[in-house]
Amino acid sequence: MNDWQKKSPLDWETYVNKRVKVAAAEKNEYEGWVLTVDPVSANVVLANFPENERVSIVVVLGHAVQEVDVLQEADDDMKARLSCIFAPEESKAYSP
Amino acid sequence: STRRSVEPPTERPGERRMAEMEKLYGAEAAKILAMETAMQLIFDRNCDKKQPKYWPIIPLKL
Amino acid sequence: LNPGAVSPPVPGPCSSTPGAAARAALRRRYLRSLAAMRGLPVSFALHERVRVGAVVAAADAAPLAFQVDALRTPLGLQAAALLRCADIIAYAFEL
Repeated sequence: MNDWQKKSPLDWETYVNKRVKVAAAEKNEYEGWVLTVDPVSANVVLANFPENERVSIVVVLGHAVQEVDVLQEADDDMKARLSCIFAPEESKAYSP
Repeated sequence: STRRSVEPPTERPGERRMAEMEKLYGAEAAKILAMETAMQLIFDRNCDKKQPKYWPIIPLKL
Repeated sequence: LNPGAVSPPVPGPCSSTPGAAARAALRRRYLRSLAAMRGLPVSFALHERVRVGAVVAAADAAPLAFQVDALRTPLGLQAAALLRCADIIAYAFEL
C-alpha cells in the first residue's frame, strides 16, 4: 500500500473540490477538480471542463497514485458545477 | 449427532455484512450496500452471459 | 421521542461518526461515477504504456475488474473482456 492508499476518509475528504495535480505510475500526470476519492480503492475521480465540450472525467487508480498536489480551491460557482456532475439518477443509473 | 451441521446458524451472513457496513458507513450503510449489490448483480449477470476473458491474459503488474 | 429508534447497536441517522459520514459520502459519489460510466466509451491507460479503448458494461463493487465490450487492443478487437484494476493506471470518459 502506498501513502495515498493509507490515508483516512477524513484526509481524502479535504481534497474534494480542490484542483489537484496527480503524479501517477510510469510518469503519468493528471490534473483536474477532485469529485471524490473512493474510500475502498483510493481511486481519485477528477473532472475537467474543456471549452464548449462535455465534462471530461479522469479516474486515477489509488494503487498508481504517487503524489497529489493541491493547486487551487473551488469557488462557490465551481463547487455547484462539480456537485451536479454525478447527481443522483438512481432509476436510470441502476436499471439493467 | 451427525445432523448438527444442518441446524440454522445463529448468525446469518447477511447480518454480519450489514454490521460491518454500519461500522464503516454509519447511517448510510444500507444505501451504500444496496448500490454495491445492484452493481455486483449486473457484473455477475454480464459475466454469466458473455463469459468474458481477462485481457491481457497475464497481469501486466503483479 | 421516536419509538422506532430504540435498538442500541444499530446507528440511527444522527449517530454516524465523522469518519463514517465522510467515508459514506466519498463512496456514494464513487459508486455513482461507476454507474454513470456504464455504456460509455472509456479509454484506459494500462501499465507498460498499453492504451486500450472499450465500452464499459459493468464494474464489480470493489471494484477489482471492469467488464468491457468492444475492447480495442493493439492486437485487435475483443467482443467482451475483463480488465483488472491492478493493470490500470487511469481511465477517462466524457459525460
